[in-house]
Amino acid sequence: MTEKELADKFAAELDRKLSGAKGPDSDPMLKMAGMLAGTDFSSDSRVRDSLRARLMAKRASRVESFWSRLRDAIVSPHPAWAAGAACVLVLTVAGLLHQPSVKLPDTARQDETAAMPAIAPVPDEVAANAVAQAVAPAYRAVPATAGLAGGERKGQGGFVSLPAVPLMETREISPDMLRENMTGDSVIRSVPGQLKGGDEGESISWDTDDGTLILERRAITADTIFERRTI
Amino acid sequence: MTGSDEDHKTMSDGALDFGTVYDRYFSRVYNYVRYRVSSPEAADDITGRVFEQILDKLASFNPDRAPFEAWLFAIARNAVTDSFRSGRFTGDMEPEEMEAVASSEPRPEETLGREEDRRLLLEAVSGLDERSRDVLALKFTSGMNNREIAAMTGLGESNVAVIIYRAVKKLQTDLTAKGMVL
Repeated sequence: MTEKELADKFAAELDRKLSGAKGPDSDPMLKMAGMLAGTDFSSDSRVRDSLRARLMAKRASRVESFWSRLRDAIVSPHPAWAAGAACVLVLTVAGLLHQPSVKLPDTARQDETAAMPAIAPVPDEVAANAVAQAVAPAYRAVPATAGLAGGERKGQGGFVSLPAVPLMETREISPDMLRENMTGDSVIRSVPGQLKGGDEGESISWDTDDGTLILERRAITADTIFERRTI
Repeated sequence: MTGSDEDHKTMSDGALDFGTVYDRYFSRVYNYVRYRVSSPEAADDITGRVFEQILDKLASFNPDRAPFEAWLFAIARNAVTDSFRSGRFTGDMEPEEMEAVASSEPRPEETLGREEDRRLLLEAVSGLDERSRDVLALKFTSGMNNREIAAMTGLGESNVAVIIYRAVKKLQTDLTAKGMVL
């Protein structure tokens, strides 16, 4: 046998051994390999616990710093800062929801599974009642004008969320509804909108003296907004 | 959980998840570094740098590009290379480092035997050339297969197999000559 053939044969046997397969282990080279794979030097480390504590504190400090800056910006009296901070907040939440999943190897999975506490089954009455009777009525109870009548929130700064339900309804926005939120010398004028539909969604456009206002509704993914970057 | 879900658990970046990564991979990263540099102090220093970088870069990890272990051990490998380039550490084993492997505390005979085996093992590994140490350390600590090691090191897959074969054979010969029973 050539050295390459011996190496390939050894590689196959070694992979079997490293994958945990049982078998005769009389080959001294495989025993040597077992020693290399099985010897753990990490008990020699003098920084294992302190390093972990330091890095976890560092991470917690970064997260806290980020959110506190964001919170300060959102409640800022400057509309531009507040708007920017709100955008960052939305992008951050979207980014967190779209975190890529990490495939862990079987050995790691076994370690993790072993460390996990047993999960108690969800009682039938909780599954039936909590979802069907608590969540759904909460949506139905959202008033249709909740996203438009912002008078009572004036002067508080920041942003409020718009419930999805009212946006899905077809309603005419009356001048009275707009007047509640008006400031300065704004003038109200009705402009007919043009509804356009397409494969990716639909939009309504209004042509005004100052330009065209377009309101779009279309399905997007995080990939539409974010650029994937990898080291 | 379905069968396919069971094949791989998922996690995302977060304080808890970094802790999970740390707990799960510290020993393997430390062992990789230790096989490369021998000295426990250097291994602590370099392993610390590795996890600093993992903390910084975990959010940018893309599983579509590479397996997590390949990503993690690429960081470890670069950290070792950087330490060699900067001249802060070398792969050579100093006499005091050899002694540091064995504790001065009185230990049971069995423990002393294991420590002696570890010392001899590190001594033998430090006698390999740098490339062999790198490939060997990746093979026995990272969990990557020869193809993944070949992709990381820029070597051919057959070449990786031959390097591992020669290195293990040399270690086995050296340690047997020193009286270690395998």
